[in-house]
Amino acid sequence: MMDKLELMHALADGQLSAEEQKQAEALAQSDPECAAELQWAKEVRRTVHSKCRMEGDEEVWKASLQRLDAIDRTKTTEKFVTKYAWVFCAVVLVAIFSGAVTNRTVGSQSLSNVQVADLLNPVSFDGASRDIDPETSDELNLRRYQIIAVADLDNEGRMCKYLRLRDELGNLALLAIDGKVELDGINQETGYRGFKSGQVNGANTVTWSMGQNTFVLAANRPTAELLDIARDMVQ
Amino acid sequence: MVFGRRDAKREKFQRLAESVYSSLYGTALRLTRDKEDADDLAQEALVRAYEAYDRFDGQNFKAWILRIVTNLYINRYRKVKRQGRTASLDDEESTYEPMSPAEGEPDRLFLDNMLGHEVEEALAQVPEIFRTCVILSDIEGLSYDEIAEAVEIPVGTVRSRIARGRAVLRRELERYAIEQGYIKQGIQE
Repeated sequence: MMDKLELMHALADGQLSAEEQKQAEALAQSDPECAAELQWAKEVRRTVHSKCRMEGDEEVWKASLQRLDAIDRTKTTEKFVTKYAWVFCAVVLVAIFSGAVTNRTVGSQSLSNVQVADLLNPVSFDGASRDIDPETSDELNLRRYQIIAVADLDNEGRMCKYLRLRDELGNLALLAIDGKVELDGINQETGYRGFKSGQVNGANTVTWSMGQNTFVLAANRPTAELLDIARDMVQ
Repeated sequence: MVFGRRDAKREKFQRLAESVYSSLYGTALRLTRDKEDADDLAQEALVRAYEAYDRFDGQNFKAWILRIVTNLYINRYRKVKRQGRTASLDDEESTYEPMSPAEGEPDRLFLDNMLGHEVEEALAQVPEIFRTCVILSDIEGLSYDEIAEAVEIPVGTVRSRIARGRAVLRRELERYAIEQGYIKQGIQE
């Protein structure tokens, strides 16, 4: 059962059903307390409604619009990314693949064991040999060796020079590679700073860097002997 | 915009929001009674409304957005900020004191002499649970059903809170009117 005074407020607010309104109006006519309550309810309502006026803060409105803009941008980006996700994936994969290919060629900082083996293979320069002057053979001291042949090689964009040398014990293969590179499989410490050893195609190999080049010396000789030869070339 | 013009949905929302912005901001300020909190509340309500705009039924945008701001206030601000006068359940269940004492009631015309900020100050003194309903009803013109939905209380409770809120408000207005000399002290006694 609705309180009779509350009923007057609901009547003042026009929130009663037709039947309730009829009852409330009858009550307001018969009960002075209800009549007074109804008048006060109307007056307070009118006063509050007419006098409480407030403008919205302009700065808050602008800040809100900026937040809505940010939401729009996020939604648009999400929509775009969702729609073209497969393109992004493809691009990333291509980029990774391209990077890998590039790394293996022009910009490579390493050569695989197989690549080194190919470069050291005498077959690769057969027929392309020419005479050279040992005095002009970089900074290496090659006077003790007879240069049998020399060839310029291009290993996937990286320039190399192959020299077949000979001393009193037999043949040696010397490879000068343009740039400082890591050689796969020739990375064992030798006890001499800057010199590393390993094996390529079953042959003992010693490598070192000098200037802007990397050198590889290979022969069917003990590593210690190759190390002595290499160190002699450098001095 | 990077990928195209602002879409029609955003334009429509902005138009509607702008048309009710003063109500939204006013309600936020009257609920929180703090400029900084009101700024945050109004902004957050606009953002929430925009994010939920797809769920708007297209009927009464003002009632819908005021429901959001009221809900947000109840859930976020009221929990952490209980300053000033508040009403307890006991207050709500106490005997209702009529607005109109039988004898010696002052002339209601004093209300006409009161300024807007005086009414606002009197309103701010009304306990929060009553004030919310009075604001939504008397200032914003929401129906009892809409208020019930906004505050998440039964319609009967809305009716009761409005009546009690107005009774407190009237006493505050009278007190203020006496202080300002609009009516003579003791006229009610």
